[in-house]
Amino acid sequence: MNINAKSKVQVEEEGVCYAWLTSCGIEICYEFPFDMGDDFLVEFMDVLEDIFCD
Amino acid sequence: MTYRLSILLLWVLFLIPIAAYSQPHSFPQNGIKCAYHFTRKDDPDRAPRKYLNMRLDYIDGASIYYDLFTYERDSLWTLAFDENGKTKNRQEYEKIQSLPRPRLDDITIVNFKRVEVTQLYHQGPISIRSASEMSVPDWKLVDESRTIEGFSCRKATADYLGRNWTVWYTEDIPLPVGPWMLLGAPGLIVSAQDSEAIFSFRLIWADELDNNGRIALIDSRYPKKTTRRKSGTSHFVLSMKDAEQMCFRLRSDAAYLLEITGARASANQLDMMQNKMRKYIPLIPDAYWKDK
Repeated sequence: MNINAKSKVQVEEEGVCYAWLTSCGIEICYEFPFDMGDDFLVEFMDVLEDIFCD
Repeated sequence: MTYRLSILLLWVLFLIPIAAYSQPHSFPQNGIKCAYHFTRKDDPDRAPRKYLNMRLDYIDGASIYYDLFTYERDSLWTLAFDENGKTKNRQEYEKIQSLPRPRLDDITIVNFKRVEVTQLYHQGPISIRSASEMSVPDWKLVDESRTIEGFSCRKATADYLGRNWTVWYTEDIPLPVGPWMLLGAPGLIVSAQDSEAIFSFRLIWADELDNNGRIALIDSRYPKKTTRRKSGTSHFVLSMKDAEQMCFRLRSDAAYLLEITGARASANQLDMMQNKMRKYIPLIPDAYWKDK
């Protein structure tokens, strides 16, 4: 599932999904419990963009 | 006699609205809507971030101060996701992505009838409600006047919530309201700045509010009980002190942000995140809470 153009999310192993924030020329990978909703991931990426990107 | 009285009454009824609206900036006092520009510095030595779509609505003894695009984001959110956090409308979700930034997520509701201030905070998947007794700044009225955005303004100062504020208010709109928690002046606050020039508010326009406003709708989006939703988003109900301190940590401590949201990152990634994290200066300085 692509959350938006600036980040990507994929399931790599059971129970865990990984999200990469690629905004502003930085790439950070986060690990989330797999049952997080789309809204959670969008919110999380949104706040990271706000923290890192002008 | 009755005929003459009727003619006189008709003239009076005709003249009252002309008199009321021929005054500069004369507004019905039951409801107004205002637009403000808000600027804040993340670093005292850097240019401020500009929030150009702030709104203040006042109606029936209550005011709300919010970012118009945060309001629109939250409206789209309810259309885009179901109660379990799954995308139910991709088109509405994509509209969220196109809303302008930066957006201010914090909202202030002042209820003058209940003498209560409610602060609503939003930081990614975390939202917080705090309600507390309204405290009114002890405004010192200063004998200075100036015209700002066409309004005749007078100056006032106050030490309030850890900062020294200077405001310009207008008695053209004699309502004790203003942006954020700057309330209780003898008229609408047109301009405000703290003594360190970190924050500023400036009225851009004011107009009659021709509907019931957005207070009830926005307020209803923030539950009155602490909840953790199935999707993983969390909502807290806290005192103002606890809410402000939690927000400060969420916006300045990367490890805390990850801990509270349940996300994880490697030590290297966490270091990078902390180093790149934008500085955050709260409207109420963290030091203010130390002896509270």
